[in-house]
Amino acid sequence: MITTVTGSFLPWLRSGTVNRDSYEVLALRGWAGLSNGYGEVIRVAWVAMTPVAVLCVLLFTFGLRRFAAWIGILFGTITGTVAALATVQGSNEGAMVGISLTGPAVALCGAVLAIAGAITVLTASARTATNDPGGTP
Amino acid sequence: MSYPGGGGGEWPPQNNPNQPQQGGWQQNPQQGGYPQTGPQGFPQQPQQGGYPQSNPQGFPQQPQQGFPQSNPQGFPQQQPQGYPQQGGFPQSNPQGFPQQQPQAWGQDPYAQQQFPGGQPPVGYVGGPPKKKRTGLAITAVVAVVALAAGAVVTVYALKNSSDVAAGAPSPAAAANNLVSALGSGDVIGIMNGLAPAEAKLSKDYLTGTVDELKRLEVLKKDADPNKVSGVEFKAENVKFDEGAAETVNDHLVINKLTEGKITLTSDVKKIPLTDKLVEAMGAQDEKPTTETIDIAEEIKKSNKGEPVRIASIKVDGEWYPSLFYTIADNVLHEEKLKWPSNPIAPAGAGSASDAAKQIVEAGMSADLTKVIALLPPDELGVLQDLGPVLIDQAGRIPATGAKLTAFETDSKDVTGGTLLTIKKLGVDVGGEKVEIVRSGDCYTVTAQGQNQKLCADEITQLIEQQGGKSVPSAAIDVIGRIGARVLKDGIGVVSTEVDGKWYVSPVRTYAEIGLTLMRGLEPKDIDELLKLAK
Repeated sequence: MITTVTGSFLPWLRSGTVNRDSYEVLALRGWAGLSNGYGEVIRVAWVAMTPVAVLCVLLFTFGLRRFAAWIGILFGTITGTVAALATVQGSNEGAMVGISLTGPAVALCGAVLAIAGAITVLTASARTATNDPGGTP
Repeated sequence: MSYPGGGGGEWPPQNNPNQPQQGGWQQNPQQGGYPQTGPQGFPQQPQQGGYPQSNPQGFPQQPQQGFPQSNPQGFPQQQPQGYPQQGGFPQSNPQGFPQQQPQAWGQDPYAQQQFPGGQPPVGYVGGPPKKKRTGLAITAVVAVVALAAGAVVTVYALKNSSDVAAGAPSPAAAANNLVSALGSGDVIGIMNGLAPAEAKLSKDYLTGTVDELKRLEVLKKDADPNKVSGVEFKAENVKFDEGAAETVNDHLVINKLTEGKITLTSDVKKIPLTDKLVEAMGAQDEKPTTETIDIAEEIKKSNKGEPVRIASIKVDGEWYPSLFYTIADNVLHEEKLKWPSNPIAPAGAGSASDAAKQIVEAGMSADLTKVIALLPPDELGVLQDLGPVLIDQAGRIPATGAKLTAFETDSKDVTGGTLLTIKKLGVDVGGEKVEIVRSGDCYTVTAQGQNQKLCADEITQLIEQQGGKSVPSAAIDVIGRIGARVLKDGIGVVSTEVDGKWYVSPVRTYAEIGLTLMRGLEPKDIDELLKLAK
């Protein structure tokens, strides 16, 4: 999750020699014709990525590991989809404006790791429940 | 945790199986309730369950999981004094005084606590074991750090993603932003920094035009309007003479560009043109070209020493460089005219159709002031600022004498406005009435009591009749198709809404007409045009 959040601050859009991170790209939504309600929803949803990651860490720390794992899967799926789409679109050799691969690729790796970690936690929890059906006194 | 009642004796009570035994020698609690029968001299593991221990010496025992020890006889274990404990922890008190085992051995820390007089001191509230406390502390630290880091990152993300105005706080800053964006080849920065209405105009029609060019196989299918390729430009050491800036009024300042270098590199092969077009242009072997313009030299050579004038305008409290105002200012400067001090105030209509009707009426009566007032103030405010000069230059234009007798329109939403196409138009010119009525893709013209109907599918036939054999068949085909498209889509004007009033946008109207004409073309028409060009 830290990797994904870090990736969101790395370059996502290149224009000339200027790179913009994912949040600076969202700031261009007015220019891109997304200054309506949808643009604001997209912005809030993307910015909420960090609080969701923090919530996940807190839930895990306080022992609510399955809940944290499910949130982690949701987090990884959404951020991974966005990052994957950007990564696929990222070949812009010679273009003055194009998608930069660094940010999306790092965010995608983080999303995959988050999903893998969440699945590991869920699997481990399921095994524990199977091996100790009566619970530990 | 609760304290044992009664006071007096030792705390914890001696008969608590989980607590150490008396005698100053402590035993560790056991699990499972088996007597400890470990070999003498070896410390035993603490057991859960709380059976009394049989180590009279009170030597510390190692933690245990409740398994029977290797002494099958079940004799009380004795540990010789001075024997080192298992795990390498030396006994610090060889005389058999109470010893403490390291916490890591899993010993119950409560078992270690003895208080003078057998009672806990006043104010002692017990508390969780040290291990639990450490765990809680770590958890708390992790939580606090996560929350703090999350808050900082979220605030930063919110700030960075806020849709702030792309304008600048001053005209000079706006010009510098443009220069900075130019210098780094930041096309998005340039577009985002332009006056909002002007930037929106180019954006609104760029995508539609690129799509049509792709359909016509002029551009490759993967051409992306958001990715500019084939052209690179770089600006170096570009400077404005801030002291020479001219303030025209409260919303227009002219900045003077005095020096710098602009390098333009173009590579036709990188433009996403289709192969057939590149071949037709003979550009397949063309190499990239680079041109450098020294602004200071150019000013001396071809601008009579006059600096390059770039206009900045104020929109909603922010300053932006403006293309339209820059063009207008340079024309005025060239003609040695000044910006008028009293611009024409915009006067919009109540509806899109009303705006179109009013501008047609104003045009017929040659009321140029009314025409300019009906132009959108955001896109063409420059014409309202220039208005008095334009009217003065145009001179007296006689009225046509025509009167509008009927005006009905069909409306369709298009990007950035409403397209109004004629449904019924009636004009009275000196008593002569002409009426045009549209029905589907057919138009009926009534003049001098006679009707003439023309439908989209009759255009080609009409051209063949009128043009004879002199017109090439390919040209008849192209003109016929474009004409049919125009009749189907209808020709009209685009109205836009600004602050609740409706205006007629000439730029959007021309752009829509251009797109309509392009929609009438087919890829084979481009091939024919390329053949003609050869």
